[in-house]
Amino acid sequence: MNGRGLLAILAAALWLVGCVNTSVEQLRQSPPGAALTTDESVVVLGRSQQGEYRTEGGFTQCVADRMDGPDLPVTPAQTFNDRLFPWFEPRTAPQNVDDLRQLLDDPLIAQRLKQNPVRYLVWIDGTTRDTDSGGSMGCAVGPGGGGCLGFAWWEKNAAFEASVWDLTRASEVGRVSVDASGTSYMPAIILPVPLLARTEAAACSGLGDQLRELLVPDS
Amino acid sequence: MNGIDACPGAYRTTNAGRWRSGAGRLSLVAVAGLLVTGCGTTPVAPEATLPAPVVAEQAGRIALVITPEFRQRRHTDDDWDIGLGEPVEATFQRTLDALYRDVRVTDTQDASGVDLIVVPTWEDAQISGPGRSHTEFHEAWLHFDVLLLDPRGNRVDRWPIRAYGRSHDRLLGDDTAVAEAVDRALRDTATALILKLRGQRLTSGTDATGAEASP
Repeated sequence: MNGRGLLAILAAALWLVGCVNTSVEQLRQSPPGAALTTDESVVVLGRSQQGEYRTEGGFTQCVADRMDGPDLPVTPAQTFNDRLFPWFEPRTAPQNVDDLRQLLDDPLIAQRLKQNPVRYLVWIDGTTRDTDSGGSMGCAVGPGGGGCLGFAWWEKNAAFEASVWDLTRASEVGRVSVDASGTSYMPAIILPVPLLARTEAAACSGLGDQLRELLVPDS
Repeated sequence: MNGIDACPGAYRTTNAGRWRSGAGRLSLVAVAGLLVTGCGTTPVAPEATLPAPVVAEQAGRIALVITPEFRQRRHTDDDWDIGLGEPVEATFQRTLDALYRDVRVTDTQDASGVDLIVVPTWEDAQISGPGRSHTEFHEAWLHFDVLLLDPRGNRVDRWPIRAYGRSHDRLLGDDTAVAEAVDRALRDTATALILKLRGQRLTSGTDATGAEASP
């Protein structure tokens, strides 16, 4: 195989990606309030619990980046957590709207929230996991060169749910869930050519776009 | 110098004394450098950057007992050498400063003129990384026992703190990721301390045995 042939295969591989199936569902529980005022913002936090369970921070950041815009400014999670320390830490964070109301009954916490108004709090809970894999591939290197031969595939599932709270009304606005499954392939004839399914990226964009639609319906 | 002690080969090479030429010395330094870097422990200094807690300050004079052993606590394994005592002391002190008007640090339980004596002791400290746990995370577990005494040395309360922190691994800069995991465990320590001490009655509300005084 000459150099041009190899380049053509590599270029084709860049255009080919594994398949991802994504389904997004939205449940609105209360009508949207008035549009955000100029100083109001949204924060996106990963759900975590006392112990070792944490929603992946990279996914939470991805959703926050996807939602962020002039009509929906996003406050960084670390900034929000620092301002309200220690009331949104893994062992103290409110688990439901009743817990939130109880938290906001504390005048110090309510006052701190008014100073740095965050209108909507988005909790993200979920995980990405490997669900299946198969195939086989072997690689060898000798004095005359090396190469791989075989075919491998693996499947990932990303399942996340976002729960949106209105902090000014201490109520739940709605929920959005996303379920994305993708299969990646890696055929190898001399060179392995990974055809990666961007499962988590698809879940992130599906969830982020739907959350924007929930909070800024005209966007 | 744990790193060199763990690499006797590196010691022998540097002590050979047969390399006299400039090029020979340079080679020697380069080889020794590679060997020492390859098998040494990396020092990590957690920052203990705790935000100001949103809590109401209570009246009360508190003695925080930090012994030299507590302050000098280190975690050392094949990969890391982490000074834990000082950042934990800073975490306890900042948390108590936010909760009480008058906090002083002492190294003895014989503290007069205070309402409550807080005595933390180390139970355990564990650090794990992706190489050991087969995950993508660095993790830190800090376990303490916290004893509360009244000014006469009677036990008021006692509870454990099991703090946990984790951070995602990095392609470069594992030491930063380990420090971040420890910082998060320190943050969890402060959170647990606030939850336990908020609403803790001081000696004016307890008798010598620690039971609540009758009205």
